[in-house]
Amino acid sequence: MVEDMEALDWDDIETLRLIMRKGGDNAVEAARILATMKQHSQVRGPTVVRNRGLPQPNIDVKPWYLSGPFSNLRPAQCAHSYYTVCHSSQPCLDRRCALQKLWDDTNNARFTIQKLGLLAFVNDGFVIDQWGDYQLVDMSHVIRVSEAKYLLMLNPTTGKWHLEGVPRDSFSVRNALHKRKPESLRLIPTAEKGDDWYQQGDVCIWPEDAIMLKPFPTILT
Amino acid sequence: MNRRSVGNVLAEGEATGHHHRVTVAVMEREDKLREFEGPTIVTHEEHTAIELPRRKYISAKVIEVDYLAAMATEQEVKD
Repeated sequence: MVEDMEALDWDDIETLRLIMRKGGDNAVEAARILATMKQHSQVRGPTVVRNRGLPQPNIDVKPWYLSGPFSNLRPAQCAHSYYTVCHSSQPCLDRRCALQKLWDDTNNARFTIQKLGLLAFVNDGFVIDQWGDYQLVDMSHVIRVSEAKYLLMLNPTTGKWHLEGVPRDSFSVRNALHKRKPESLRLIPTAEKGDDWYQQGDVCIWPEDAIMLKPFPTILT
Repeated sequence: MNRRSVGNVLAEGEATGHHHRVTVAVMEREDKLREFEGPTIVTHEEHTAIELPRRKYISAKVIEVDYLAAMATEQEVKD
């Protein structure tokens, strides 16, 4: 009698069916009510969620592993491709495998890494050392460049993390911080009793006549 | 040593166009180091300002290794 049962309130339908089964005038009335409910089901009854159309993927945007680099590909889409690579035709089980698969196509791997920024891949790197808000991370296997060492650091002003490449022979965070100093600054001996110096982002500032400087900037912003 | 005026800029931003600036004149030396005289305030759009006491200062950028530029070259060699 009522075909689109999903669109109606189940409690009411069961009650009306019970009345109909009993027969008599009430059954006729119940049938009439059920028919009316069907007509107005969109307004009266709860919506059946499972029949709603799910958002369809945009088939015009192909993932990187199906075609060449896309100049208009947004970072989020690149990230999606990278992290869901497990669901491609060749099953992968973990991030390491996904990373390996990323490099199946060299050009796309380069494109994806450059498009997303290396920070998106930082959890795939090996942490060599940690000190304060710094981490020395080896990203060699991520970008396939030998001994590619980076410092993961926090901008104290904006609270944003970023990566900066440091010399290959850096073996600890403190060592990397020292090796990335401009040469003229690095050549000045360091001691805790040395003069103050300052660093704002990637710019170091120190007194011209300093004979000895503190190992790390007094103020870092 | 020859010097040239670079306004009040300690370093130009490569990607963002933001500059590290001071409130005094800055000179660039032949060795590319920049020098200026405090007291002054160092400002930048994405960093907290730093107040410098009276003294002569040198400034230079940290050394950054661009491994991503090497990414293409090394892979081509491996291929």
